[in-house]
Amino acid sequence: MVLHGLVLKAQENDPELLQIVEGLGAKMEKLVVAEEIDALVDMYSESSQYLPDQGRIYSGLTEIRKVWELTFQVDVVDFELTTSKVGGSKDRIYETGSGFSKISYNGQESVQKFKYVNIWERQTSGEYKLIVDIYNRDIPTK
Amino acid sequence: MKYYLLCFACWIGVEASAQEASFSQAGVEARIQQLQLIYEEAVASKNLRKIMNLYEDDAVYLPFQHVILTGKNEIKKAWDRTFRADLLKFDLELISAEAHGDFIFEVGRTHAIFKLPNGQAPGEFKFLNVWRRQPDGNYKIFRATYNQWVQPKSVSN
Repeated sequence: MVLHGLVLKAQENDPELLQIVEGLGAKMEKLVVAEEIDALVDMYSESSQYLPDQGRIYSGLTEIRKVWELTFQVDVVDFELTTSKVGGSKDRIYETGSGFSKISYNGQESVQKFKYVNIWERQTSGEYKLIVDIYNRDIPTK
Repeated sequence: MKYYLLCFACWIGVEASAQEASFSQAGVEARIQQLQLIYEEAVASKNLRKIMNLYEDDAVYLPFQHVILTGKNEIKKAWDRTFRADLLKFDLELISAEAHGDFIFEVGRTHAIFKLPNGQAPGEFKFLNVWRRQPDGNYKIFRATYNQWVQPKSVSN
Protein backbone atom coordinates (compact mmCIF):
# COMPACT_ATOMS: atom_id res chain seq x y z
CA MET A 1 0.00 0.00 0.00
CA VAL A 2 2.94 2.27 0.77
CA LEU A 3 4.62 1.41 -2.53
CA HIS A 4 1.48 1.50 -4.65
CA GLY A 5 1.15 4.85 -6.46
CA LEU A 6 4.63 5.85 -5.51
CA VAL A 7 5.99 7.43 -8.69
CA LEU A 8 9.47 8.70 -8.62
CA LYS A 9 9.25 12.08 -10.34
CA ALA A 10 12.59 13.10 -11.68
CA GLN A 11 13.59 16.51 -10.49
CA GLU A 12 13.14 19.04 -13.28
CA ASN A 13 16.13 21.15 -14.18
CA ASP A 14 18.38 18.92 -12.16
CA PRO A 15 21.78 20.72 -12.17
CA GLU A 16 23.63 17.55 -13.16
CA LEU A 17 21.36 16.89 -16.16
CA LEU A 18 21.62 20.55 -17.12
CA GLN A 19 25.40 20.38 -17.09
CA ILE A 20 25.35 17.25 -19.26
CA VAL A 21 23.13 18.74 -21.98
CA GLU A 22 24.87 22.10 -21.93
CA GLY A 23 28.11 20.27 -22.62
CA LEU A 24 26.49 18.34 -25.45
CA GLY A 25 25.02 21.54 -26.83
CA ALA A 26 28.37 23.30 -26.77
CA LYS A 27 29.90 20.38 -28.65
CA MET A 28 27.13 20.45 -31.26
CA GLU A 29 27.53 24.22 -31.77
CA LYS A 30 31.22 23.81 -32.60
CA LEU A 31 30.64 20.87 -34.92
CA VAL A 32 27.89 22.63 -36.87
CA VAL A 33 29.95 25.78 -37.44
CA ALA A 34 33.00 23.70 -38.36
CA GLU A 35 30.80 21.51 -40.60
CA GLU A 36 32.37 18.42 -39.06
CA ILE A 37 29.71 16.11 -40.36
CA ASP A 38 31.23 12.80 -39.20
CA ALA A 39 31.46 13.94 -35.60
CA LEU A 40 28.05 15.60 -35.82
CA VAL A 41 26.32 12.46 -37.10
CA ASP A 42 28.14 10.53 -34.39
CA MET A 43 26.09 12.49 -31.86
CA TYR A 44 23.01 10.60 -33.04
CA SER A 45 22.19 7.01 -32.14
CA GLU A 46 21.84 4.47 -34.95
CA SER A 47 18.07 4.35 -34.66
CA SER A 48 17.58 8.04 -33.98
CA GLN A 49 14.84 10.14 -35.53
CA TYR A 50 15.46 13.65 -36.81
CA LEU A 51 12.43 15.88 -37.45
CA PRO A 52 13.74 19.12 -38.95
CA ASP A 53 11.36 21.91 -39.79
CA GLN A 54 10.15 21.81 -43.40
CA GLY A 55 11.06 18.17 -43.94
CA ARG A 56 9.85 14.70 -43.16
CA ILE A 57 10.92 12.26 -40.42
CA TYR A 58 14.45 11.01 -41.03
CA SER A 59 15.43 7.75 -39.36
CA GLY A 60 18.89 6.36 -38.90
CA LEU A 61 22.35 7.73 -39.52
CA THR A 62 22.39 7.45 -43.32
CA GLU A 63 19.30 9.63 -43.72
CA ILE A 64 20.38 12.05 -40.99
CA ARG A 65 23.78 12.48 -42.62
CA LYS A 66 22.13 13.38 -45.94
CA VAL A 67 20.01 16.04 -44.24
CA TRP A 68 23.04 17.63 -42.60
CA GLU A 69 24.93 17.49 -45.92
CA LEU A 70 22.08 19.46 -47.47
CA THR A 71 22.12 21.89 -44.55
CA PHE A 72 25.80 22.55 -45.16
CA GLN A 73 25.15 23.60 -48.74
CA VAL A 74 24.86 27.02 -47.14
CA ASP A 75 27.57 28.45 -44.93
CA VAL A 76 26.58 28.26 -41.27
CA VAL A 77 28.60 31.11 -39.76
CA ASP A 78 27.11 30.85 -36.30
CA PHE A 79 24.97 28.35 -34.42
CA GLU A 80 23.88 28.68 -30.84
CA LEU A 81 21.79 26.54 -28.53
CA THR A 82 20.39 27.61 -25.17
CA THR A 83 18.85 24.97 -22.93
CA SER A 84 15.74 26.16 -21.12
CA LYS A 85 14.57 23.00 -19.34
CA VAL A 86 15.73 19.46 -18.69
CA GLY A 87 13.84 16.54 -17.27
CA GLY A 88 14.08 12.78 -17.08
CA SER A 89 16.99 10.90 -15.62
CA LYS A 90 20.67 10.33 -16.29
CA ASP A 91 19.72 7.47 -18.62
CA ARG A 92 17.39 9.52 -20.75
CA ILE A 93 17.32 13.33 -20.73
CA TYR A 94 14.51 15.43 -22.23
CA GLU A 95 15.85 18.82 -23.20
CA THR A 96 13.94 21.85 -24.44
CA GLY A 97 15.66 24.96 -25.63
CA SER A 98 15.96 27.69 -28.17
CA GLY A 99 18.64 28.76 -30.55
CA PHE A 100 19.58 30.46 -33.74
CA SER A 101 21.59 29.77 -36.83
CA LYS A 102 23.23 32.47 -38.88
CA ILE A 103 23.77 31.48 -42.47
CA SER A 104 25.55 33.08 -45.34
CA TYR A 105 24.36 32.42 -48.88
CA ASN A 106 25.25 34.35 -52.02
CA GLY A 107 26.88 37.04 -49.93
CA GLN A 108 23.81 37.60 -47.79
CA GLU A 109 23.49 36.69 -44.13
CA SER A 110 20.29 35.76 -42.38
CA VAL A 111 19.40 34.61 -38.90
CA GLN A 112 16.89 31.92 -38.19
CA LYS A 113 15.59 31.54 -34.65
CA PHE A 114 14.24 28.20 -33.60
CA LYS A 115 13.23 26.15 -30.58
CA TYR A 116 13.78 22.45 -30.07
CA VAL A 117 13.27 19.29 -28.07
CA ASN A 118 16.12 16.80 -27.86
CA ILE A 119 15.96 13.39 -26.26
CA TRP A 120 19.39 12.19 -25.19
CA GLU A 121 20.07 8.59 -24.22
CA ARG A 122 23.09 7.41 -22.25
CA GLN A 123 24.86 4.63 -24.12
CA THR A 124 26.60 1.64 -22.55
CA SER A 125 29.86 3.52 -23.14
CA GLY A 126 28.59 6.31 -20.88
CA GLU A 127 28.38 8.87 -23.67
CA TYR A 128 25.09 10.44 -24.67
CA LYS A 129 23.50 10.29 -28.10
CA LEU A 130 20.42 11.87 -29.58
CA ILE A 131 17.52 9.52 -30.12
CA VAL A 132 15.06 12.24 -31.14
CA ASP A 133 15.87 15.72 -32.44
CA ILE A 134 13.04 18.06 -33.47
CA TYR A 135 12.95 21.81 -33.96
CA ASN A 136 10.67 24.47 -35.38
CA ARG A 137 10.81 28.15 -36.15
CA ASP A 138 9.74 30.83 -33.71
CA ILE A 139 8.28 33.23 -36.24
CA PRO A 140 7.98 33.19 -40.01
CA THR A 141 11.28 33.71 -41.81
CA LYS A 142 11.53 37.13 -43.43
CA MET B 1 2.62 -12.46 10.56
CA LYS B 2 4.40 -14.72 8.05
CA TYR B 3 1.07 -15.20 6.25
CA TYR B 4 0.60 -11.43 5.86
CA LEU B 5 4.16 -10.96 4.68
CA LEU B 6 3.65 -13.69 2.09
CA CYS B 7 0.44 -12.02 0.86
CA PHE B 8 2.21 -8.68 0.63
CA ALA B 9 5.10 -10.23 -1.32
CA CYS B 10 2.64 -11.88 -3.74
CA TRP B 11 0.79 -8.59 -4.21
CA ILE B 12 4.07 -6.79 -5.00
CA GLY B 13 4.91 -9.49 -7.52
CA VAL B 14 1.55 -9.15 -9.25
CA GLU B 15 1.86 -5.36 -9.35
CA ALA B 16 5.38 -5.59 -10.79
CA SER B 17 4.19 -8.02 -13.47
CA ALA B 18 1.29 -5.76 -14.36
CA GLN B 19 3.64 -2.81 -14.75
CA GLU B 20 6.03 -4.85 -16.88
CA ALA B 21 3.19 -6.11 -19.10
CA SER B 22 2.04 -2.55 -19.69
CA PHE B 23 5.55 -1.69 -20.87
CA SER B 24 5.69 -4.29 -23.61
CA GLN B 25 5.99 -2.52 -26.96
CA ALA B 26 2.48 -3.60 -27.89
CA GLY B 27 1.25 -2.23 -24.57
CA VAL B 28 3.04 1.07 -25.09
CA GLU B 29 1.61 1.50 -28.57
CA ALA B 30 -1.88 0.57 -27.43
CA ARG B 31 -1.65 3.13 -24.64
CA ILE B 32 -0.52 5.85 -27.01
CA GLN B 33 -3.22 5.00 -29.51
CA GLN B 34 -5.81 5.36 -26.73
CA LEU B 35 -4.40 8.76 -25.87
CA GLN B 36 -4.40 9.73 -29.55
CA LEU B 37 -8.12 8.94 -29.76
CA ILE B 38 -8.82 11.20 -26.80
CA TYR B 39 -6.66 13.91 -28.37
CA GLU B 40 -8.40 13.63 -31.76
CA GLU B 41 -11.84 13.77 -30.15
CA ALA B 42 -10.90 16.79 -28.07
CA VAL B 43 -9.66 18.66 -31.15
CA ALA B 44 -12.61 17.61 -33.34
CA SER B 45 -15.07 18.84 -30.72
CA LYS B 46 -12.93 21.91 -29.86
CA ASN B 47 -13.17 20.83 -26.24
CA LEU B 48 -10.65 23.01 -24.43
CA ARG B 49 -11.18 21.30 -21.09
CA LYS B 50 -10.58 17.87 -22.60
CA ILE B 51 -7.43 18.89 -24.43
CA MET B 52 -6.01 20.69 -21.42
CA ASN B 53 -6.67 17.61 -19.30
CA LEU B 54 -4.04 15.86 -21.40
CA TYR B 55 -1.30 18.23 -20.21
CA GLU B 56 0.65 18.31 -16.96
CA ASP B 57 0.34 21.53 -14.97
CA ASP B 58 3.90 22.54 -15.86
CA ALA B 59 4.00 21.04 -19.33
CA VAL B 60 6.08 22.74 -21.99
CA TYR B 61 4.59 23.19 -25.45
CA LEU B 62 6.62 24.38 -28.41
CA PRO B 63 4.11 25.17 -31.16
CA PHE B 64 5.15 25.93 -34.68
CA GLN B 65 5.84 29.61 -35.37
CA HIS B 66 5.35 30.63 -31.76
CA VAL B 67 7.42 31.07 -28.60
CA ILE B 68 7.91 28.32 -26.01
CA LEU B 69 4.85 28.01 -23.78
CA THR B 70 5.15 26.79 -20.20
CA GLY B 71 2.25 25.81 -18.01
CA LYS B 72 -1.42 25.25 -18.59
CA ASN B 73 -2.43 28.92 -18.66
CA GLU B 74 -0.17 29.69 -21.60
CA ILE B 75 -0.90 26.40 -23.38
CA LYS B 76 -4.65 26.92 -22.99
CA LYS B 77 -4.41 30.32 -24.74
CA ALA B 78 -2.59 28.67 -27.65
CA TRP B 79 -5.25 26.00 -28.04
CA ASP B 80 -7.99 28.60 -27.76
CA ARG B 81 -6.43 30.36 -30.75
CA THR B 82 -6.06 27.05 -32.62
CA PHE B 83 -9.74 26.29 -32.09
CA ARG B 84 -10.70 29.47 -33.90
CA ALA B 85 -9.72 27.69 -37.12
CA ASP B 86 -12.23 25.39 -38.74
CA LEU B 87 -10.84 21.89 -38.90
CA LEU B 88 -12.52 19.45 -41.25
CA LYS B 89 -10.10 16.67 -40.36
CA PHE B 90 -7.56 16.03 -37.61
CA ASP B 91 -6.03 12.57 -37.59
CA LEU B 92 -2.98 11.42 -35.70
CA GLU B 93 -0.74 8.70 -37.08
CA LEU B 94 1.64 6.89 -34.75
CA ILE B 95 5.11 6.47 -36.24
CA SER B 96 6.96 5.29 -33.15
CA ALA B 97 6.53 5.11 -29.39
CA GLU B 98 9.05 4.15 -26.77
CA ALA B 99 8.75 3.81 -23.01
CA HIS B 100 11.49 4.42 -20.50
CA GLY B 101 10.75 4.63 -16.81
CA ASP B 102 7.81 6.95 -16.27
CA PHE B 103 8.06 8.44 -19.76
CA ILE B 104 6.78 7.46 -23.17
CA PHE B 105 7.83 9.44 -26.19
CA GLU B 106 5.61 9.43 -29.25
CA VAL B 107 6.65 10.45 -32.75
CA GLY B 108 3.85 10.85 -35.23
CA ARG B 109 2.21 12.62 -38.11
CA THR B 110 -0.84 14.84 -38.12
CA HIS B 111 -3.14 14.83 -41.13
CA ALA B 112 -5.40 17.86 -41.00
CA ILE B 113 -7.70 19.70 -43.38
CA PHE B 114 -8.58 23.31 -42.67
CA LYS B 115 -11.75 24.93 -43.91
CA LEU B 116 -11.08 28.25 -45.64
CA PRO B 117 -13.52 30.95 -46.78
CA ASN B 118 -13.00 29.88 -50.37
CA GLY B 119 -12.36 26.15 -49.97
CA GLN B 120 -10.07 24.00 -47.88
CA ALA B 121 -6.37 23.40 -47.37
CA PRO B 122 -4.41 20.41 -46.09
CA GLY B 123 -2.12 20.66 -43.08
CA GLU B 124 0.51 18.00 -42.71
CA PHE B 125 2.67 18.05 -39.60
CA LYS B 126 5.03 15.84 -37.67
CA PHE B 127 5.23 15.89 -33.90
CA LEU B 128 6.88 14.68 -30.74
CA ASN B 129 4.91 14.19 -27.54
CA VAL B 130 6.61 13.12 -24.35
CA TRP B 131 4.10 11.63 -21.94
CA ARG B 132 4.78 11.15 -18.23
CA ARG B 133 3.01 8.68 -15.97
CA GLN B 134 1.10 10.37 -13.18
CA PRO B 135 0.60 9.04 -9.63
CA ASP B 136 -2.84 7.71 -10.65
CA GLY B 137 -1.27 5.67 -13.48
CA ASN B 138 -2.59 7.88 -16.28
CA TYR B 139 -0.25 9.66 -18.68
CA LYS B 140 -0.12 13.37 -19.33
CA ILE B 141 1.91 15.44 -21.76
CA PHE B 142 5.20 16.60 -20.30
CA ARG B 143 6.63 18.08 -23.51
CA ALA B 144 5.05 18.58 -26.94
CA THR B 145 6.16 20.10 -30.18
CA TYR B 146 5.43 19.88 -33.87
CA ASN B 147 6.48 21.30 -37.23
CA GLN B 148 5.47 21.11 -40.85
CA TRP B 149 5.74 17.94 -42.84
CA VAL B 150 7.21 18.68 -46.22
CA GLN B 151 8.16 15.88 -48.56
CA PRO B 152 11.49 17.07 -49.97
CA LYS B 153 12.49 16.33 -53.52
CA SER B 154 16.21 16.05 -52.89
CA VAL B 155 16.68 13.65 -49.93
CA SER B 156 15.97 10.13 -51.10
CA ASN B 157 13.76 7.72 -49.19
